[in-house]
Amino acid sequence: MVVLLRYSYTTLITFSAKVSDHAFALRCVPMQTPAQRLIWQHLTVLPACPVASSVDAFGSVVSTGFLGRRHSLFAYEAAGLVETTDQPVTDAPFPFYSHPSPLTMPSPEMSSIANSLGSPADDPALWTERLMAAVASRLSYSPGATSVDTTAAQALELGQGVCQDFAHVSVAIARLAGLPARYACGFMEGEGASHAWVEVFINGRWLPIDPTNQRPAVNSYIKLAHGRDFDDCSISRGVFRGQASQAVSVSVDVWKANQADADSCH
Amino acid sequence: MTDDSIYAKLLLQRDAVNKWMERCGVRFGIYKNGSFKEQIFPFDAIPRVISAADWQTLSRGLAQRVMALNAFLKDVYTKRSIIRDGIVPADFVFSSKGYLPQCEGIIPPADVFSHISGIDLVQADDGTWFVLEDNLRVPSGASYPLIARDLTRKVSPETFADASVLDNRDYASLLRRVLDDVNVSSGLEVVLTPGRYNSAFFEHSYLAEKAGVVLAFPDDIFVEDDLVYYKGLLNKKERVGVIYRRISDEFMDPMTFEKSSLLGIPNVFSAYRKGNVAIVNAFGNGVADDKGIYYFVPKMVKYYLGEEPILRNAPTYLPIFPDDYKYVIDNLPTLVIKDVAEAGGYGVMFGRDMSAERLDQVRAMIKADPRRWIAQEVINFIDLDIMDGDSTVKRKSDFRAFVLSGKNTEVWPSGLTRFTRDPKSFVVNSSQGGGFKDTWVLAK
Repeated sequence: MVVLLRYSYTTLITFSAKVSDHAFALRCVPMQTPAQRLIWQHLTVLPACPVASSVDAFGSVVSTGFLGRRHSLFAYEAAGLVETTDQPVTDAPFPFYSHPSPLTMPSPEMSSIANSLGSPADDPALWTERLMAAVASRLSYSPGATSVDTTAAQALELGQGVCQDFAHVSVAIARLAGLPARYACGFMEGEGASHAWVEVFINGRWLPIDPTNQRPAVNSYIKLAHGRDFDDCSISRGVFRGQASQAVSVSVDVWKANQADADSCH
Repeated sequence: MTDDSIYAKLLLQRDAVNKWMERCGVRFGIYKNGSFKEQIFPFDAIPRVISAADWQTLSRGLAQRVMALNAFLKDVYTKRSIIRDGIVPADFVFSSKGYLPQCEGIIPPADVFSHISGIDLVQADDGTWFVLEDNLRVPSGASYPLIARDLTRKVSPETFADASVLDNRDYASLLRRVLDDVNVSSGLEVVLTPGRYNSAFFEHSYLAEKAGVVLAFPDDIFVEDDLVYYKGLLNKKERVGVIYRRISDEFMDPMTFEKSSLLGIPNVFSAYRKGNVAIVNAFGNGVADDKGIYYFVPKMVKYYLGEEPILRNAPTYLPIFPDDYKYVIDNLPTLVIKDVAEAGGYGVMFGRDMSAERLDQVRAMIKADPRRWIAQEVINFIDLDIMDGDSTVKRKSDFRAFVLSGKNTEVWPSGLTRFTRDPKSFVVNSSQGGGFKDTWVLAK
């Protein structure tokens, strides 16, 4: 199946006082993979400044910039058109995808879940379904219960979390089951914020799964970054000088586009 | 006191040397009970003397070791052939805290990862030298013998007229040559210090001055368009080509590593990844100076250079291997146990100092997490003479040799000799008290 997805992602930060020497790093350009083709995209930053682009060790596009002058507002808008397909993603997993990372350290409970899931090689799709079901039976979706620094073990202990925590726990269990696994983040059709999911490497290909929604993460997903855990995939990081509090407003919109949208931009 | 020694004349002037040290602010800062204290780093005027013959072996062995370590670092972050060929177990690399996945695929300018390597050695009482530890992140200490030589030459020039000691005052030019070799786009060269509350601030400022490069604080540097700039007078932007940073990896860039770091330069890692700036030493070196990886360094020499290792490791056991585990558990009272993640003499335990109960606790710790520990035989080091009033006493000491790698790998004919104050202590580290000596390498 081939799906065309348009996305628009804006962030507006208002500072309570002027700030300066503001450095930022954004991961909001969709990745190019066999399952995801980027047709066009743009990224606009306000106040205007040079934005450099590079690809990090994990394969995600990083856009960086520096605002030296004093400013009290910072905004960026990312928009584009992506074609998603069912093409297999087969890039060889880095060895670090098989080892625990700071936010996905294993716990005894995860080991026992991993042992209960059976062999992944026989029926990979079934195995990932069992993994997602096992995670969902132990975590309830509750925004605010955890933070960006919550580890997989802490979330599992608490029994609550958001998409980040569902993904961390799933990644940790998959690694314990001997499978390379990575944390993925980006956008999902129908979700007004960024979303996190998981890719597990079974029988030579990465299977994208969404443990929060208990389904494969295909077609209606746009991947911006992947890595060992959340900290490798920050969509937005910033550091500035000045004593100011910040009000952040984010909007994410993803919708199905038609072929005319794609053609008009060629 | 041995009046016929080659340093006898120097000893007559030892008070003058120490006064000069104090005037020059030769200090070492330590954190004790949560507060920062700067103390004089006590200098002992009796040098460690290394014979020309010993030095010939040592310097060849040190250069060989560092070339192998640099080859290992490049391999780990690119092809990983040493792991594929089964020489180093994957687990040792990828669960090491010093391994940084963010560095995958990055080859720094001139292929050098460890530009300044501090190799810690001890000499056993039979004269054999053993490598105890490789320091490939930001090894400190070169400034102390450097300034000590400068001052001892000043107060006792006749000593150096008589004794044929290799001059060590070229350290700054060796350092400068390394910085020049890796400099990107002929940019500015800076020593980046976290600030004056760092334990080695004296060294940062002294080396910057001697090498003729800029001493920069984190606020002086910024990254724009993935290029690194120094904020000069009147906000003049000057392109930076190489940063000799004295800040550890995790605090260097809050955009890539520790988010809360205020010491770092935001986005410097992106600039480095693009090859727009050289970082001295490179990011990710911790994977090669991990106390667990140490075991494999002689194997690296054979693997990458096809040579027999010239220098020996202290006999080491890794509890992760079943035979070593059994040996360690059975012989714990005679071994020294080290936590692979700790540095600076912390996390070092001597079996012979432990009660039976404590020994059992340590055995349980090793059993629970064998990857975390290494065990070594206790080496009987040669004791060195230390001045104590007008007489001398014997104390334990170690030796940090400095190896500088740019386009070539050179070994500095000197080094930092540290000694313990406490006659019973076997741990020699500046963070644990103690003092230092100059190290003389004889020309013939």
